[in-house]
Amino acid sequence: MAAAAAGEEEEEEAARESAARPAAGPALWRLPEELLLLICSYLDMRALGRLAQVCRWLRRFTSCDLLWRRIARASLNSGFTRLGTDLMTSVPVKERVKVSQNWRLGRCREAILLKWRCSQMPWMQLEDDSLYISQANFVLAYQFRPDGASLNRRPLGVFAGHDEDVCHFVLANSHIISAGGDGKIGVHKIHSTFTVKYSAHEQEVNCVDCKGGIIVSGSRDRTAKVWPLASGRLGQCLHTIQTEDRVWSIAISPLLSSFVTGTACCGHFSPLRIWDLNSGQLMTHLGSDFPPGAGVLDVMYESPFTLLSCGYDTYVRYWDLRTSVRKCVMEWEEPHDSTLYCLQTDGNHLLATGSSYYGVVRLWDRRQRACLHAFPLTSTPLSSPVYCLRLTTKHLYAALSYNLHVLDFQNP
Amino acid sequence: MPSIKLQSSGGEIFEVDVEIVKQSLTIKTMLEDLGMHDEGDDDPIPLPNANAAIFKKVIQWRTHHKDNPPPPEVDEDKEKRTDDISLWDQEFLKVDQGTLFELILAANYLDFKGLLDVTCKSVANMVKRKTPEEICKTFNIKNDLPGTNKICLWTSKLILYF
Repeated sequence: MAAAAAGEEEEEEAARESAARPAAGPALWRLPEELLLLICSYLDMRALGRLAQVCRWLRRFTSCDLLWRRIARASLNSGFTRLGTDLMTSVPVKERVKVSQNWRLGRCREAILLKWRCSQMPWMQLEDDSLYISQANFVLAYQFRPDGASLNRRPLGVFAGHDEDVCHFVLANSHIISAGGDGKIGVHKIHSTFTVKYSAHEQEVNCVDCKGGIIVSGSRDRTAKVWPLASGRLGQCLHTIQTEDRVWSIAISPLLSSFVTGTACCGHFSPLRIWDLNSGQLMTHLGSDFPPGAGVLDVMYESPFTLLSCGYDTYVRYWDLRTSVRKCVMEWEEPHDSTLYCLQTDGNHLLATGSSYYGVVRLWDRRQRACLHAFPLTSTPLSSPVYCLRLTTKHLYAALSYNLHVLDFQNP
Repeated sequence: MPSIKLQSSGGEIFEVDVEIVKQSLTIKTMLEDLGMHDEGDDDPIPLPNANAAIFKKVIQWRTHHKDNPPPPEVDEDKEKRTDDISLWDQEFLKVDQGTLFELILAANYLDFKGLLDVTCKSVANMVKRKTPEEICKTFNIKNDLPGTNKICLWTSKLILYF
């Protein structure tokens, strides 16, 4: 006890001391802080890290966000977007750079968050400290424990209403918008019991997106449809688009002017098409010479002009509408020739993909062509696709047919 | 060529080519504020923050680089290089630490960006690729971190392997 108290005192004293720079001593201390900052701006991560081990004052001084920002922006999944927007101002930048090294080196701890008995095709979304996951014809909401690597066992909410499995769902304006195998779209208010369900398509609704008060849906029935979210007008179809091809994935542009559909590439051989949201007219199609069957299973906008897509032809493609709609800027090939079911990005250099066999999750550094790390997650002999992936700066969540896995990069 | 007189902190007066010091924003502003022009005025401009020895070095550096354009603005987000110091500058900066830091202070005060960059790079190079222990020695800093006295050497060696 006494020793612990003494230790605390020592620490307190240290905290007091470290606040002020020793007045006398080394010649280096003659330089004002802004010039020391300028000198440190020439140092890389390693040199800054070593400088922090030199003395208390330098440890505090070299921890400032300003010095680590440049390094963080070049690191994987450190909470900065490509344009430098800081997405997680609450966490010190140096801490994030530390965790980012684990992403780069593939150092993580694997655990199972949820298990279920029957084979499922789960979809999920993260919001604040909650995880939403579809299970058969339900969507369940769970709360994360503070470590982010485990869940409170009892779900916070259960959202039901579909007659068949929920294929896909999104969160928007405190609503869950779900797409069902029964051809219906469900709209659930998250914090109340309000639920509306309406018939949307003749066959399964495979995908749905919702932004700016507009819902778009894509179905096996070879149509994509546009709907309003406004409560009085739910279920009033604004546009029906004949895609001549089963629609697997859909996303609304951040500018809310258009949306993209990813289709099966069986009935129509341009699997990536962009449509005007107001008129429902075709604006353009991406790429050319896709082989039959090169269906797009996941597509997302990263900015109003850039998109990422993946699917049956085993490639992730990065498109920039400003340079060319016919040729992608960059592509990455799944090395084991597996279909890519889903993809996620940190908005900067990191890319995560889910493959169709053995629950293989891959991490990619978008500045490199080759895959950075692969994590086969299926624990039983049963092979499973990775149906859905989600990322935070500390964790990766992967939903497979029997389990929800977490890769914890904060505490490997 | 027009010249002006500058006075160091010790009272020593230097007569310098105007073109050489005009890249210093500090001196340029002073000239304008004091209503002085290129033509030699008899009153020297006082520069209380620069002593004679350092001032001589600064002028020597500026004279050598007088035909070089000011350094370009660097992208804050790119890693900055420190291995691009010219041979002449490397020789020029072979001085004791005290002088090097005084040069940084003077370059900063006089707003000579090129000199400030190269001197800061030079200090950064004294830190790079060194263990914490070696940095302590280089700058004569006492390591006051708890529990590091013994394991410091060991961990720093370990770190070098990664």
